[in-house]
Amino acid sequence: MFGLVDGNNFYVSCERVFQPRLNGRPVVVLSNNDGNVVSRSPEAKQIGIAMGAPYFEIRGLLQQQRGYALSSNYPLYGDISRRVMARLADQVPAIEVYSIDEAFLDLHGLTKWLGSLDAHARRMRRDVLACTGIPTCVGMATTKTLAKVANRLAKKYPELEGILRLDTESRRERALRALPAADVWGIGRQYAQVLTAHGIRTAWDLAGVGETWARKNLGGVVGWRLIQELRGQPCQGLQPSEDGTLSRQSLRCSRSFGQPLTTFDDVWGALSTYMAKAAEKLRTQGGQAHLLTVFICKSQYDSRVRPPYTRSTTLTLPGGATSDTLLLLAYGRRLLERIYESGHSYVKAGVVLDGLEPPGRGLQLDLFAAAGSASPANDAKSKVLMQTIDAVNKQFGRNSVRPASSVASGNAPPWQSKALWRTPAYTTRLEDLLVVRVLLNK
Amino acid sequence: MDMNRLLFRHPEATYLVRVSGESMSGAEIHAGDLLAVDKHLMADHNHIVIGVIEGDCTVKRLVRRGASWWLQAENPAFPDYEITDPDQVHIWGVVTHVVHELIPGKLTALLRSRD
Repeated sequence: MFGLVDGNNFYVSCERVFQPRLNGRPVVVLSNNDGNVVSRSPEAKQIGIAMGAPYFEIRGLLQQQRGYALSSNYPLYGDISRRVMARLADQVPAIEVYSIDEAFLDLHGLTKWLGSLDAHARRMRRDVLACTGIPTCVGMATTKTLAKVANRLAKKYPELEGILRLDTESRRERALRALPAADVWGIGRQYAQVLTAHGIRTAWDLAGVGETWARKNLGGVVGWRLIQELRGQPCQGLQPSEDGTLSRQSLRCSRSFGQPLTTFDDVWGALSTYMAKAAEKLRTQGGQAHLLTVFICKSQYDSRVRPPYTRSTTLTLPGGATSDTLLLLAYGRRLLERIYESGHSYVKAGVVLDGLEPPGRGLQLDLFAAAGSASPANDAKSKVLMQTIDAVNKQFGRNSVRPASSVASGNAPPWQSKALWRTPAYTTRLEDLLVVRVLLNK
Repeated sequence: MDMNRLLFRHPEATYLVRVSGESMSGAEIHAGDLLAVDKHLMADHNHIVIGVIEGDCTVKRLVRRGASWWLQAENPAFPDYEITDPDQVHIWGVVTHVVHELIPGKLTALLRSRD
């Protein structure tokens, strides 16, 4: 058996732990730059606020219903996530942290020791709620894909009390019939359209397609595996990380700007800031990247601008895998020049580092390499330089050493994002700790 | 030595909070102190707890007198608070440790700058 546990409206739940007054009220958490709704309380859902809705569209409704909108507070969510994962890891043989609020659990062979898995799942929910204040749902099944299905239904139907186990054929069938095919894990928007076009409405319909059809229409062997998993045949194992943290297959850093940017230098300033950050993250997890992707976005809400709103371009790094900020910046600037159009205003930019691997494996020795390109000598120099930069930034504060292009004239760089309603970092900063009083309402 | 592992029974369930305002002299808790709060422990008679009353967090001693439960301020200046309905108070966590500065340092500076 696999289990999938996830936090119910996780970001809102984190906020409620430290602000009990938010209980029972419509509450939403907004994406970076206070743009869109990324988490909403059941009360917010009930009054008709959609996931992803832009804040300016729901502001009136929220005020009228005496609800709250909060800026996202990732230091808080990250710390609570760590606590939730640690509690889960304590109670099962292995977990795979899948995202900030989701983890797959290894439940194989546990019935012998624990009796009923349902009872154990209930205990885990109680424990996580008691220790962190986060309500969760647990789905259990013979494959990861079915565990996801079970989890979704457990969340959708309150009468299940947060737990669903698909242990029999009839339960599996009932569950798959109750779930739209588009909601199956791994079915993105594009595939959902294909399914609709072929009259495949429920997950049960999807589980009935043939191998040839799945391979042809759902992305080859990956699609066929998905179908097999829906039928109860496990194709994916657990991928637990050694340190219990989320070890990323790709690393991304993107932000919406505080205001639209109209010059190349400003967009590059923002992008180089994100690139330096991503490269530092990469080095922290001890990796190197093979692929560099850069993207920039125009506003979707500007009626004068026609799609595509986002342009991106990817480069396979010619010198092999690297985590050198300077090298990445040099390539990144060229990539931006390729996709930047003057005369437009941009609202967001980002960088994705892909094809990650541990250092040392990726270096290709080039017999005719010119000075400055990848070579063992240059590689060693770059390593020392990067270690020094990271050490300085660690000791003297983030951004003590940073790319010159990311330094803006004036006070705050124009791309710095807005977060007008951010709550304190309750668990990670001394100054931000929750304050309790002996006397109330003096 | 890791203080978390050394002192806290449930490190993942332990949170630090800061005391402001008046002291709970009877419990040796003073304004500016840090409290370690365990959310995993079941609150019982005589525990110092963080209680949430009408959305506000407060530190009090939980006591039972006969059949009724009270939140007691441990400071003669403040009246006790009777819990007549379980829904009226949410026990956020149980205080397990007090960090009190004997020589003015970061906590004292923070207290002066904030309160």
